[in-house]
Formats: sequence, structure tokens, C-alpha cells
Amino acid sequence: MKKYQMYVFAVATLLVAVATAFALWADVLKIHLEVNTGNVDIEFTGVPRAIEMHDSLPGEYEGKDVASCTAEFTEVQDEEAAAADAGLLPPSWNPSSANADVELRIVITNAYPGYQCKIQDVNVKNVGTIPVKLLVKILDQNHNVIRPEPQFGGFLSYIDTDGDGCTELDVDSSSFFTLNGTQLHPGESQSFTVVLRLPTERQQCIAEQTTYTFYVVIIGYQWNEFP
Amino acid sequence: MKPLTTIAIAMLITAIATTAALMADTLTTKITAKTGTIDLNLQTATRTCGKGATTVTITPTKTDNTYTIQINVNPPGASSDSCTVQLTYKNTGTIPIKIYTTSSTSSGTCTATPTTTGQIHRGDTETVNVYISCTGSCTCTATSTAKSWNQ
Repeated sequence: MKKYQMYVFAVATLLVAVATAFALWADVLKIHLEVNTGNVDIEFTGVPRAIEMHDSLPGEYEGKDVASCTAEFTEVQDEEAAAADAGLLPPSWNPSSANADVELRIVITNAYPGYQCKIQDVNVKNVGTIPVKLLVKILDQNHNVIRPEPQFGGFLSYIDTDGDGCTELDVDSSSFFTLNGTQLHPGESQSFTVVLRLPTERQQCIAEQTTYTFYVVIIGYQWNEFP
Repeated sequence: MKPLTTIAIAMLITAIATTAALMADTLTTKITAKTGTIDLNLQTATRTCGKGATTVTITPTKTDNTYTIQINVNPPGASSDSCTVQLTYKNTGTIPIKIYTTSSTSSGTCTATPTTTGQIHRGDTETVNVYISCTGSCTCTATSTAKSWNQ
């Protein structure tokens, strides 16, 4: 019995010794790291208004009502599709982070060479939490990036929407291009106009009863990663 | 320490990667322009000549927005005569048009008036007169082309 008590005492002493030794040899430093990211978010604001024009004057030529032009914000299912197809989104961009932005849709019907429409009262607003810089790209109907053909000292840019080498539409220098490189701080917005025209001087490119479509993609990059 | 450092670095990298993945947003504007049509249709072609026995043959052909009308005048006995051919066109396109007409002949005279019509709105009609004067058989060719009213 005495021998047994000695064993118990010895084992207990050993455990205490080991525990003490471990307590001396180990230490823990805990690093608590918390990163709260901001977000980049831009959206269209305003109430788009379409105004028919001719020679810088309101209304169609000779006051006629032949064509029509409308501009409105519409909900779209896959708002990033055009930009993604064109390879314009950053490589690490995560589609699931897309915001439910609306699309600005401009529709011209029964158009003819010389017809002109101006869309105004539209803004791009930074509704995110960090500054953004805007990049503007024009895509043709197949979502390929196209380089507009500047004319008249850059006042006009002709656009070939169907890739046939012939330009069917033009936009003036105030359209979209003023947004390029613009930096918007959170809460700030920038207005822009869109002046579209079917150029009479390119009427050989404009076919009757034909629909021409192109896209303008505005990408808001975090300001310090603007390409 | 080493495992903890590794975990901390991994967390930092993940946080940076997540941040980079979120740092862009796009807005799209879709612009669609559908063009109208320019078109004309020859509704009627009537003729009036000085002599009732004069034979007039009118042959219209259409290519795109242009009518080419051959008018053959054959007065009796190779005599002289003057005829007026009235060509009535309808705007069958979707935008207002003007019709430009030219005329030519190898003999005699051939004149179209007006050479340029006024504006013809969608669905409306306009008449172009072609005056022909010749001795013996002659052929006048009138060409009418529709163009947008603003050109």
C-alpha cells in the first residue's frame, strides 16, 4: 500500500512538473486582423430627355414630325454582358458582385440621313465609398470595341456599328467622351449629353429600313487602378 | 508563431484579393437607330397629244428609288405633234420625299416639269408633266428619283 502511494505521488509530481514546464515554454500571441473593404458603385441618375434637333436648332428639319427619339432607363438582366464580352472588365472582377444598375436605352425610329437627337439630363454618380475614375468605351453591335473616327478637329466622331467599314452614325464631342478619365468622389456626379446624328455626308453608308445598334460602356475603376 | 504568421498573411492576401475583385462597376448605354424608307410608286401615266391619231407608248421600269420611263411618240404619217405625259407618283416610303426628274431625247424636244417636286409626304401623290414635241417618231426618256426631303 505504501509502495502504491509512492507511485501515485511520483506520477502526480511528474505531471505537475511537466505542466509547469509547458507553461514556461509556450506562449501565444493572437493577431486579430479585420479588413473592411469599401465598394465601387456607380449609377445613372437624372431623368433622360430626348430632344430632336437640326443644325443646332430644336425640332426636325422644317418642323416635321418624321422620326422619333426616346431615352429611358431600363432594367436589364445581365448589365455587364456587353463589357464582359468585350473583355473590358478587370481579370479579377467577380460577376456576382454586380450591382443592379439600370441601362440607358436610346431608341431612334424611322430615321433618315440628317436626323439628329440630343439626350440630356443624365448623370453618372458615384454611389460607392471610394473615389472612382471613369473609362468610356464604345462597342459595336457584336460587343467589339470600336475606335470612333474623329472628324472636324474631334468635334464629331463617326461610328461604324456593323463593322462593314462604313460609318453610319456620329456622336459629337460632348457625348460620353467628357466622362473619360473623370474622377468622382463618393457622392459626386457628372452630367453628360449624347448628341447622335445620321450623317448626311455619310449617307452612302446608311441603308433604308435597317437597325443600327451600338453600346457605350462606362466603367468606374477605383481611382488608383485606372488603366 | 510561424503558423499564426502564415494564417495572418493568408488572411491579408484574401482580403486584398477580395477587394481587388470588387473594385469596378459598369454602366451601359444601348443605342438603337432604325432607319426609315424612301420609296415611290408610279400610280398613273396618262397622255394628251395634239393629234388623236398619234401613238404614244409608255414603258416604265423601276430600280431602287428611280423610275426610268421611256415614252415613244409616233405621229401619223411622220408628221409633227406635241404630247404631254402626266406621271403621277405616290410616296410609298416612310419619310417625306422630293422627286427629281430629268429628261432626254435623241430628236425633237423633251422637257419635264417640275424637275424637282415639292415635298411629298407619306401616302401623298404628286404629278410630273413631260412635254414632248417631235416630227416623226421619237423617244423621250424621263428619269424620276425620290430623295429625302431634306437633301
